[in-house]
Amino acid sequence: MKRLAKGALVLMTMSSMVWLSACGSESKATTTGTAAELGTLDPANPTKVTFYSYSLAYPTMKAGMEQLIKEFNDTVGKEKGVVVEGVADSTMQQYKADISAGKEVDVVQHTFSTLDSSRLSLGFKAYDDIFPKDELDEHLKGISSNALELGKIDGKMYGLAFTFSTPIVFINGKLFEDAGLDPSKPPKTWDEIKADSLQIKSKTGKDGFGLAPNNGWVTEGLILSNGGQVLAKDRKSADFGSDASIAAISMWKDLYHNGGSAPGSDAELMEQFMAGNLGMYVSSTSLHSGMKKASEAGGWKLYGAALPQFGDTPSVPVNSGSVLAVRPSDPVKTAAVWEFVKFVTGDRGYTIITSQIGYLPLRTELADDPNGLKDFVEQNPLYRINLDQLTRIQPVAIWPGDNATEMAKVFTDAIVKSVMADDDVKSTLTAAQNEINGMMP
Amino acid sequence: MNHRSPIQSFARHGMLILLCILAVFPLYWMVNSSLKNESEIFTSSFFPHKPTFGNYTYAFTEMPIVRMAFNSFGVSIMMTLLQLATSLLAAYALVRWRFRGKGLVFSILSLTWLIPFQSIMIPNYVLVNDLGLNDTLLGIVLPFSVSTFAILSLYQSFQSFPSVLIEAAQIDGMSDWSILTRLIIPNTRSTIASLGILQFINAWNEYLWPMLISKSMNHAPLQIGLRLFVNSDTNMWGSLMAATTVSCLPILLIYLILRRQIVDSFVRFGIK
Amino acid sequence: MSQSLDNTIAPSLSRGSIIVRRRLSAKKLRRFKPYLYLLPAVALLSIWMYRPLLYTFYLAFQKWSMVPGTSPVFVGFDNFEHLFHNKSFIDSIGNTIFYTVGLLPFSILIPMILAVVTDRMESKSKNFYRAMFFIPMILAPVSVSAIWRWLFHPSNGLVNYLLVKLHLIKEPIAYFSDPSFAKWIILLITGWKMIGFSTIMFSAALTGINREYYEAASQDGAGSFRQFVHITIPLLSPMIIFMLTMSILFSSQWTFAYIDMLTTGGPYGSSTNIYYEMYRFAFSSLNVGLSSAAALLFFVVFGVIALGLNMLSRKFAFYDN
Repeated sequence: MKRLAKGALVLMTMSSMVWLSACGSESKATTTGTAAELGTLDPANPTKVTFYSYSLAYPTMKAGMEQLIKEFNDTVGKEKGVVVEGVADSTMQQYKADISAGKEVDVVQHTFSTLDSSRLSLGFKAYDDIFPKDELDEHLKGISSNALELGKIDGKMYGLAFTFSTPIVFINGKLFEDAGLDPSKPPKTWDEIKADSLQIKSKTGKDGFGLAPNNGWVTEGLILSNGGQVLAKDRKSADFGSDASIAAISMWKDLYHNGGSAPGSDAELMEQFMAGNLGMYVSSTSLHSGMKKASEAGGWKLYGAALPQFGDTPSVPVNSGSVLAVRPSDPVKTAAVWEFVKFVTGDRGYTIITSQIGYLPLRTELADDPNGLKDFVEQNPLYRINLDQLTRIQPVAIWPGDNATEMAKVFTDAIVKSVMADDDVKSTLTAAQNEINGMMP
Repeated sequence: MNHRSPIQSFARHGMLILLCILAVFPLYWMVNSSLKNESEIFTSSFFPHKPTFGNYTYAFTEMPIVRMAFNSFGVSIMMTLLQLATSLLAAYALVRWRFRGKGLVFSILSLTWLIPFQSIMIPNYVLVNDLGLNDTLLGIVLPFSVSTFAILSLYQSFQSFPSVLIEAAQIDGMSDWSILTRLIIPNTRSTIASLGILQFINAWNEYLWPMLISKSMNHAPLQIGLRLFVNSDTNMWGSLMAATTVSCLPILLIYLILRRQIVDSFVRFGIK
Repeated sequence: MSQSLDNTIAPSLSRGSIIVRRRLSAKKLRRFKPYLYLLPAVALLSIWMYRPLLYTFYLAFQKWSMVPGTSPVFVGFDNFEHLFHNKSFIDSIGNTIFYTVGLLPFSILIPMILAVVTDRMESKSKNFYRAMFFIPMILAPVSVSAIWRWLFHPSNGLVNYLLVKLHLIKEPIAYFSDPSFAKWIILLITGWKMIGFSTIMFSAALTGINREYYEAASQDGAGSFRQFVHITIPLLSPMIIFMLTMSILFSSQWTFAYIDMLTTGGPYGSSTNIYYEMYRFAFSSLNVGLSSAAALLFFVVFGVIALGLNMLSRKFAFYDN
């Protein structure tokens, strides 16, 4: 007792010391080049660029991403004097930690929802500010304009669409046939999904359908497909408490509680599907190469379907995937980064990304280009579904301000709770919406 | 002693054995799964029918396990030695002399029990960053170079050291330093050793701080490397269990050899 | 702890004047010596414990994202206000209490019974049981989490397989993504790890108890249950209070690793605790102020609890003999 009191005294006396030292800490502001000028690269003395990528950390995508980096280093990089070093970032936390550790983090494969908060707090730069305008405009030609819009905040491009996919329904052909269904005529609406799922379950004993409540992004497609929205148009408030959103989530809740949707996290459902124990699984096409391998190993055929719709209204998928966010520290670095960005989002880059990993070719004409992906798309008809969806796509919510990560979490938590718990969907969503609005900048 | 019927004794042992099984079964299941091949891993058979080391080969090629094991040993040994060194000196000073501010020192030591690591992690993280020690083994070790728990534990055992011996040594003209290094340490080595074992195990099992500091498998202790593996790989349960088995082995081996001392030191010192 | 060996030398009787002079300078040195020996420990404690603690208190009133080149901005009590509007933080307080209370059977009740049951066995089987119970304690949290995650795997885990086979459940359960199971499993794993340690602690305390109490009691005709209630529990009370203190102060830290490895606090924050939220605020949301405000708040709360337990242990101290 006495000891604790004494200890408290020590604390107080020491506090003044720390206060002083804390106040004395200087800010190490880095100077930023404001003009869109590029430095000169020197092939004899190559510039190192770090590239933080979550794809590098996933077994299904690792090889393709490594190939992309290697090919750049061996061709353009060698010629111009740039060496890219890939850093695997499985949790998408490392670039944050390394930036706060003062390391050089030049290019980040960044997800959409927290781009605004990264821009504000982690020093990412706008493409329009650092790259030459004419070169930028030239490069962006041919990239789906829908996709380009997604990385823009307040009119400036903070991320260039990079790996990109829409949600599709992966289908296990064998379970479909065992249940007496035709996998080449897959369900189109949510009502059909429910009917087919329950039929698979009663006929085969295996789960018919899976969409993990914590998936994070397909959810947004669900809300948009039913005419709701997640964020208001002006991005100043959350707007997922509307009747349309509530109806969409309630449909899902019904599916979940009536055995139409298997329980488990996204990772667990994916394992279940790949093990051949799940009839349908909604996820990103980026998993395609892994799913295909699993189906071949398991002796069943993989089919696909578009994101299901509500009634007669076509569904509105959102994109999953990433943009390239950049933060070069000087003009030479800027030039090096620009070379890398041009390569990986160019024709060759997208050919590798699509054929080796499974993301969409954002230069859509590549799909019909015999030198590009024509053969590949013909062999993998799933990609047609995806390319079709690209025309209806809407951006995933980019939560505004410093609290973006927290907002994204509140949203996801509220969805999970609405779907899984017995609580009322409306009150759960409204409470979350109010909480998020309280965090708005 | 008490007269118990055989039935009662049987029931008693039965219950205890059941609890023992509960305690070690997860370990058995880990080893069992690690030896199963791809087609068997998803079945619930209690023995691998065709034991294979394929999972181990995969784990060793996917992760720098040997390197990580060295990291773990390095970090744990450094932490243990630093903690022992600082606490031997401090405990000696506290037992040996009366001086102004002694009460204050005790307050400083006792109060650390109330400081959870989560409430000091941010400034320590910032400091380790500023020192350029992020993603290094030294960065993991430094904040754990002193342990008040070790100081107080040694203080208690030094107190029971016969003061007559110290007085006699002093009359013989031994310096204060020699009294510590040539009289007290040699005579309390078993205590120091068991404290060392305890601190080693604690260091080996440390979670939050190494997780914050380690960024790459090459600079990560075994546990944290395993965490990266768990979080990145899916559906590789066989090799995951193989890697987990490898990560448990060193500690289990030490326990097998030093069981008595380990249990004794936990009893003697408790845990922090 | 309060008494220490008094080793300041008694002045010797028959020594020359030179020695007296030498002793004068030696005396001066001696005054500094204790501090010299304490210096490494105290300096390191100041750098790695007290400086950061005070800095955290300072940060509780700042807004900062830890990014180099930016500096903290003073925001007054904003962080505390945000904290109390943060639903996941409010929920985490409830869970913290859940874990703290839920762990008590594992750290006190079950181990006490196990210690008593094994106490009078012959030493060979006694040591065997205790050694087995102890194994989970020495395993690292990451390994333990990996194993349990596999055991509780929804579609391929052994637990679901057995439960379905025994017709106890109809459908496999996704334990870690089901809010009604997630925190229970985390509690179970933490408890599983604790039992061995606590059992050994209680066993050690039991060996110190004088057997004559029991003999006297059995002569008076007291059955073993009554002996347990009237003799064992009172005599063990110092140890009970000690384990109670440990359990309450540390349970949130013991559960931390399992929360991070198995559920990351989910689903919808139903398995998180305050320490995990502090970690999340700091290293996921990069909101240092919020994390520090929570740290400051709970430093005070746990301080008050510790004081209370300290007083409680004094009250029971007379059993400690």
